[in-house]
Amino acid sequence: MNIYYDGDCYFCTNFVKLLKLRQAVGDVHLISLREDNDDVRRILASGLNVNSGFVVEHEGKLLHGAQAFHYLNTLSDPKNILSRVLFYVSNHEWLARVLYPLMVLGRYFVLILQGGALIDQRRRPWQEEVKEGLGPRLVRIASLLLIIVGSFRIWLASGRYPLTDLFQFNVKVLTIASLLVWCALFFRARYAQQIYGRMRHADWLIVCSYIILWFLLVNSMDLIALRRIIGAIALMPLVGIAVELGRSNYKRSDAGKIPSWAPLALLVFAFFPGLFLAPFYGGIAGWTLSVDWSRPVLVGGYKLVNKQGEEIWYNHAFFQPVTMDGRFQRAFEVVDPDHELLQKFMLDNYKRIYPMLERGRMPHEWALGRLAYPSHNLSDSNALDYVGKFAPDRIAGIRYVLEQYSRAGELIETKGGELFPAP
Amino acid sequence: MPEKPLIDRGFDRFLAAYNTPAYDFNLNVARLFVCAFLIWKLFSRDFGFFGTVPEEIFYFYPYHLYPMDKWILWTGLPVIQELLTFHWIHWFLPHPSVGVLRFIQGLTILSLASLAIFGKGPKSVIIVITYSLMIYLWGYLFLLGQEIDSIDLYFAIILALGISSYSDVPIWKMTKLYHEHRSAAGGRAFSNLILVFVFYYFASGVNKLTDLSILEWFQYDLVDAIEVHSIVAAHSTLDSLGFFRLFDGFTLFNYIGPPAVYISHLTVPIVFFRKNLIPKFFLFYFLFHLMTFGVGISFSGYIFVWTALFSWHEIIDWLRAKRRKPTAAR
Repeated sequence: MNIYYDGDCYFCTNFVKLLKLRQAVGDVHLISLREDNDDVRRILASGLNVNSGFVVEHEGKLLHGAQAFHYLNTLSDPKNILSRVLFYVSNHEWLARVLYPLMVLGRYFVLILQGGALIDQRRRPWQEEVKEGLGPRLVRIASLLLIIVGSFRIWLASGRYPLTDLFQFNVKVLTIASLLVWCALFFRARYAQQIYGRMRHADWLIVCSYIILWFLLVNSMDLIALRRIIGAIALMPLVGIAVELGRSNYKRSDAGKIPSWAPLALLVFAFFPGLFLAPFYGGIAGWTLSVDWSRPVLVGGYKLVNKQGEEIWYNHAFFQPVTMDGRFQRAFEVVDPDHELLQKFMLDNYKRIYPMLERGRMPHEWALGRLAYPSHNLSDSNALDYVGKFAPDRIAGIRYVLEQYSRAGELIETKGGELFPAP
Repeated sequence: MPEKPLIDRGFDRFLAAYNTPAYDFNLNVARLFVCAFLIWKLFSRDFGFFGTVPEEIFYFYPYHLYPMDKWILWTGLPVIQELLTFHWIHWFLPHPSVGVLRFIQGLTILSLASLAIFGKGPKSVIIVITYSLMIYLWGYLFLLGQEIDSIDLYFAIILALGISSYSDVPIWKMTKLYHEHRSAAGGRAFSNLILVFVFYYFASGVNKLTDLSILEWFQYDLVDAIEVHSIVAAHSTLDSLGFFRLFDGFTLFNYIGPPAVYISHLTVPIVFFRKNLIPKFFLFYFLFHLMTFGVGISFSGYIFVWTALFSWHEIIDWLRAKRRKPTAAR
């Protein structure tokens, strides 16, 4: 008996293996239709739709789909729960007719998730330069993911993140084009193999074309998070090549593990969206900065206020080793939007570090004085400005202040928050 | 025989560059340099500060920081970060006090000094302990949603040295090591160090491609930002360097400086193949990181980090030759 099934489909492979066919059947040959041999060529040429059901060849009979399913179950010797269920199903024709199409749909679904493709009836395996594998699968998965990201962006546009006309056009084109490409790749397995093959054996023209395509794909999206995701998706075929390089070279005496896997590691490190695995993150984000001189320059922060009403900025170096003060303060805001927790912390912290200020040193200068590694946001080393007039016992409280300056450095306006009194 | 595909030829060149012999001496100097820098940094910070931060502020992850469209640190997630920073121990233990944190900081300094003096130690025990202590301490910073402290490259160099096999010697044996020839193992270890730089800067370059359109590369008003910062610094406790006022009005620099940096990020892999470019990249990044002082941000750690890749053996050779010459003339 020959059973022809889709060897790329997890479902099909396990179903066939699960069947405990009776010994009376004789030798059972499980033949994947993805392989290349005379039997496969014969079945592919027979005109049976191998994508809608597997094929059983036994004692001169050629059975297909639900028919083959029923036939196999009548010959099986149900020993485990699943095979008993299947046996039961196949013995009730109406149930088999309902269930079999569902199983075929399930097979499609699994195949799609695996990055597989339908079996090409016109396939010529013996003529294929690149065999099915991780690379072609990644090509298909990439196009599928592009559809998902594009659709997601269109869905987002109906809510908080509307699209401009230009990006609406771009995103729609991206989504529709990806859908068409994916359909082609899914229905004709060899297309993905050919694309991957071209990339694997790329010349400079293909390299340049790929870079241009990558740019176009990334720039079709507006939100940074999605641009990064698309950048990573569009790179997936290269990941396949990097894995191939790693697998084929890591045992070479002149290579070894590190250089063999370095290209893959570089791709992952550089292109995985938002990589942050402490202490590493995928580099500083890109942003633009536009200075509008028609608007005043803002200087904001907290000021300590003493009992005489004098004020002094709360030096952000008091927060060292914190590097990003804004984020540190945000953390407090999240916990306590009224800022009381932050202001209380600032006053306590000030009291704690004051003895250091009396020595003329900022907290980070505790050991090396002026030779200390500077704070991340360059700060004045003005410890002595606080000593005396702003001793903790003379502090009345702390308050948020926002000052506006002209380009010439003249104070235009001051806005102040309420004083948070020292305990 | 058909010519090898472009990718395979590229990979062969990569392997050839990776295996180019180098002096083990240079790697030991890199170790000394990194340890010295980190000791300096630890003597310039008080990690006891984190012992005063209210318990509810820990932990603060990137997704707390940004709305979805600006959320850029996708893997900065609970559990993962705690595992990586050894902060998982606080699933069982409370956060330490100011005194304990300062004690750990002191231990880290000692550990770094040991690493500098004795090398990686038997079975790399010293470097493993040092890394563990460091990541625990800096974990406090990373777990407050702060990924930037000009420190990543140093961590990565320590890891690269840790996983590389080369002649790692105590400080008193370095003179002897200096007289040894280039070795293949030294070459591979040195290549690992360069890869650290390539990974880090290239990733930063990729971000400039994904986060910005090419037109936006020219929309960073650096010169004006320097002027704004000087005004802010004059009226707050932020500091600025007067030197940067020289750029006032030189707006052409907006169209040269930032794009040049982005291009340098993207072309940084070239240093792996042409190591003679290392001093040039050092000079460029020295100036670039110095420029960030203009907008009030100190990347001091990265100003000098490229010197870890210098061929110190050749520099010493050159200096010795310079010293010998006048004697020979006499």
